[in-house]
Amino acid sequence: MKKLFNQNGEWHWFTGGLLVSLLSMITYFLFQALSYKDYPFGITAGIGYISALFRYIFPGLTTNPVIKNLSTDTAAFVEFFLLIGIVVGGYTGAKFSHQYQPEIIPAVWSKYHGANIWKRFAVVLIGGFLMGWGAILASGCTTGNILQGWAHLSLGSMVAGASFFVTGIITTKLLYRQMGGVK
Amino acid sequence: MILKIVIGLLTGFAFGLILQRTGITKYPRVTGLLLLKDFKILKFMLTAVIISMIGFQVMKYFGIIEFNPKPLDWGKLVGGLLFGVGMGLSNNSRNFTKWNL
Repeated sequence: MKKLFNQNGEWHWFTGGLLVSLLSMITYFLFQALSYKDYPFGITAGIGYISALFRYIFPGLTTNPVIKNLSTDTAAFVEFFLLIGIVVGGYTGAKFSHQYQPEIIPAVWSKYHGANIWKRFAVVLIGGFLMGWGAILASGCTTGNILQGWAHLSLGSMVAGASFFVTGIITTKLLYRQMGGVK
Repeated sequence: MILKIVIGLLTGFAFGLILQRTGITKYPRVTGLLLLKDFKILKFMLTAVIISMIGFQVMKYFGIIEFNPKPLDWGKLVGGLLFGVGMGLSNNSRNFTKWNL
C-alpha cells in the first residue's frame, strides 16, 4: 500500500492510471448528465479556444468554420479553464513535494545539443507549431484521443493515437542518436 | 456558466496534480518513452485506458451515458503524424517547458 504512493518520491503508475481513469469517467458522466454532448476531457479544444480569441484582432477569422466552431463549443470553453487548472495543479504538486525546479533548457537536451537557448527556442517553436496544427487536424492530442478516445473504442482516435507514436519515435531516435537511436 | 468554469478548473487541478505526482510530466521520461527505454508513461496510460474502457462500457450498458465517437477521416492520420513530429521535437505533450511541471 505504501509502495503505491511512494516509489522514489513518485506515485506508482497504477495509482496514477487508476485516479486518471476515475477522473475521466466522472467528468464524462457529469457532462452527459448536464446534457452537453461533447468530450470535456482534453487539452486541444482549450488551446483552440485561446487561438479563436484572435478573431477579435483579425475580424476576417470569424467566417472560418474551425474558429467559429471553437468559439461556440461548450467543451472548448470548459477546457480553457481545465488548462488553467492543470498549470495550478502541477505547480501545487511540485511545490508541496519540494520538486519544483524551473528548467528552461532540459538537461537531456543541453547534453546532446548544447546550451544555446535560441537553438532550443527555434526547435520548440517548430515543434509547437506542428503539434498545434496536427492536434486540430486530428481533433485531439494525447489526452483527448488516447485517454478518452481509446477508452471509447473510437476508430478515428485509434488511428490518430497510433500515428502520434509512429513519427514521435522516429523524430526522437533521430534527435538523440547517441542514446540508442539510429546511428 | 459558473458551473462549467468550476468543473473545468477542478478537473484540471486534479489532472495536473496526478500527472505531476506520478512523475510522468518529466522531460527525460517523455524522451525515454519515445526512445523505447522508459515505459512508465505507457503503463500509466494503458492502465487508465483499460479501467475507464470497462467503466464506460458498464455505464453505457446501464444507459447512464451514450458515446459520441470521433469519426475516422484523413485528418486523423495526417494530423497524428504531424503531431508526432512536434512531440518528438519539443517533447511537451502535457507539460509546459517554462514551468517544468
